[in-house]
Amino acid sequence: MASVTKLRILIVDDHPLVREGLKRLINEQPDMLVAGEAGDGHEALRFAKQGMPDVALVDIWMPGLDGARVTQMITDACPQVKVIALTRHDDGGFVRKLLEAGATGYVLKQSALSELTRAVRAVAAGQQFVDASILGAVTPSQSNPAEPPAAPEAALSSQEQTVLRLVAAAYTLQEIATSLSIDLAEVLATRAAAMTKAGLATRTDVVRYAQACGWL
Amino acid sequence: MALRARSAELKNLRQANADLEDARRAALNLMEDAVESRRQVEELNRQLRVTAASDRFRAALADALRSLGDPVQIQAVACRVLAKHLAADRVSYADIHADGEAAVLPREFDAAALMAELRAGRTIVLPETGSEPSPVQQDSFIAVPLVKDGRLVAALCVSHCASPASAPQAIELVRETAERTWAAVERARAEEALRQSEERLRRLNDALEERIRERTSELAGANASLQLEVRERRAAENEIKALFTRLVSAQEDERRRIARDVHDQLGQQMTAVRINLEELQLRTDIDTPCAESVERTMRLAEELDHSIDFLAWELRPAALDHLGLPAALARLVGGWSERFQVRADYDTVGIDGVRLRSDVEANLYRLAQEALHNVYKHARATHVSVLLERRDHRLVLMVEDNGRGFAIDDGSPEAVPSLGLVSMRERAALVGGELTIESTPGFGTTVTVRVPTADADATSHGQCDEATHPHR
Repeated sequence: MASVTKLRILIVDDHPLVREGLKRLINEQPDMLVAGEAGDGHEALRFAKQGMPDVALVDIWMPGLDGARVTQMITDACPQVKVIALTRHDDGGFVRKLLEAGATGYVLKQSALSELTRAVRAVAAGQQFVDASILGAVTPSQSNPAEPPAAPEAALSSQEQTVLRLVAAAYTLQEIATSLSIDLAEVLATRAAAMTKAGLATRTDVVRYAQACGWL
Repeated sequence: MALRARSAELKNLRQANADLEDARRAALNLMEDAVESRRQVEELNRQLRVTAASDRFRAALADALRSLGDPVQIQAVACRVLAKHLAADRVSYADIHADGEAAVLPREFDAAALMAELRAGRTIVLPETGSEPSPVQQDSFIAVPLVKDGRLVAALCVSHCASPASAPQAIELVRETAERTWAAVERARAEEALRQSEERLRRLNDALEERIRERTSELAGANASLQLEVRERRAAENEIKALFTRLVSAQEDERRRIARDVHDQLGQQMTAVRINLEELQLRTDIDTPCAESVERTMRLAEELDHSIDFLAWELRPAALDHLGLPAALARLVGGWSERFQVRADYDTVGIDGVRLRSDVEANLYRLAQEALHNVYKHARATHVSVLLERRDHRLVLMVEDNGRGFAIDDGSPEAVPSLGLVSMRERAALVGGELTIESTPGFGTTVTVRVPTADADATSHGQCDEATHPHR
């Protein structure tokens, strides 16, 4: 039973308590070894160059160099080191930012340790890993894509079309009434008729419809 | 025969005598005619002389009076010129005043009788003493009344010594002089009155101009103080706005700091606790009461962790600093929708790749937060749209719901709380924006914030530093 070559882990976090806890837990894993710890970005970079870690766990919010910069510097200097962003931020924007900076994994500190160990094994195997609890948050805009209208504009009168264009362009009802020289009630009625015809419920629906029609 | 001859001769003689007599009479007639003609010529010559003298007098009188303006002087000069012309001892012009009774007469006449005559408009002519007895009169005397509008206004009296005073030309001349003198006096008085009224007018005008100058200066003073007041007020308003800006910015800074502390310190400690709990779980035998206890504690720690996240986010979303407004709004709308179970969509147009000023981002974020809060509290909506569009030189944030709406300015307590709207307007104004609210009962409410892109776009790196280097 030859001893398996353990994955060498670098922990980058400015909180000693977190580092210690993580270290103990990771060292419990049969296939992992905490090879080094760093309290800030510069230390992390130094160790990455010398310590030859397989995976670096990087807290993205640290004093001095922030996680994205550290990630970028590590992956630039040592392309063989896989970086996992370890953070409390579950916002999709942060995920994109870190992945762009070169991280291949993104794990929330709020998740169970098992999520982290799975991530370490996945990135070490060359895969990308994003915490299961934020997968949905990363792609909310793609989850509800504007459906191309079946027969764009065809059913709408030219006035209805004009009103929808202006609604999509974020004009207020009063502005629309003024620019078309009609009264507010007529704008309301026209908008309601147009939205019903086009099957739209909200202004954001109208915006997406307008984008699909190429109006915006 | 001789007799017949004599009688014939006699007849001839008589005839001759008669002829002679006729001739003599004719001659006498001729002489008389000649004398008469000569007398007529002399009379004509005299009249011509008188007329010429009268003309000279008129010219002299006109010359003398022309330049005079003082009624008393006019009267004196007219009297002197007339006296010279008539070779009179004394000529007097007497004004008869309206009260009439106290006529000033030149000498001691029977004043009452004289006045009565004059009042009647009759010229008084007294021949030289001697031809007719008179108790006082020494010389010839002419008094010409001047009656205007039925009233005796003046009399011109001439005491005479040289030429026959009663001569009609002289009387006519006196009358004419009286008329001219009166006319000149009237003209002088009218001119004086005119001059005086002009003077009064001028003084009035001067006084008026003086008052205008005073009033103008008062007005200028008032205007200056008003302008000063306006400037002070504007300065005070600017100061208030600057203070409000500082307050809001200080509030955001403070929230950012506390959020960071909560998230960083508290959150990290919580992470450490949870790691320790996981460690504890690994070392605890499954299916023991102790394992259950650890499990419960782990769930509690997890809830606590979420609360910490939520609190930090509520205080100030880290995304606002690190990812920008569009990402922060996406998270806000998603979180709001999940929390209140109302469908909420969010979209952006024209915002990709645009850096916004951090204070604009913070204020628009807070406005969206407030608007969503109002939707939850008042609108009873089933759909909410949040839109961030950048086009036509303006950045527009819209929060639109399909709720029950309200009548704008109806003053009812059902209306959207005005205090909230006032502070929202102020917040919008802080970043140069404008907030409008459209609502129709039954047709939902739209809150629109428009900020000119000139105010909204980040123009220098300084304004982005906060976002890119939150830890400084």
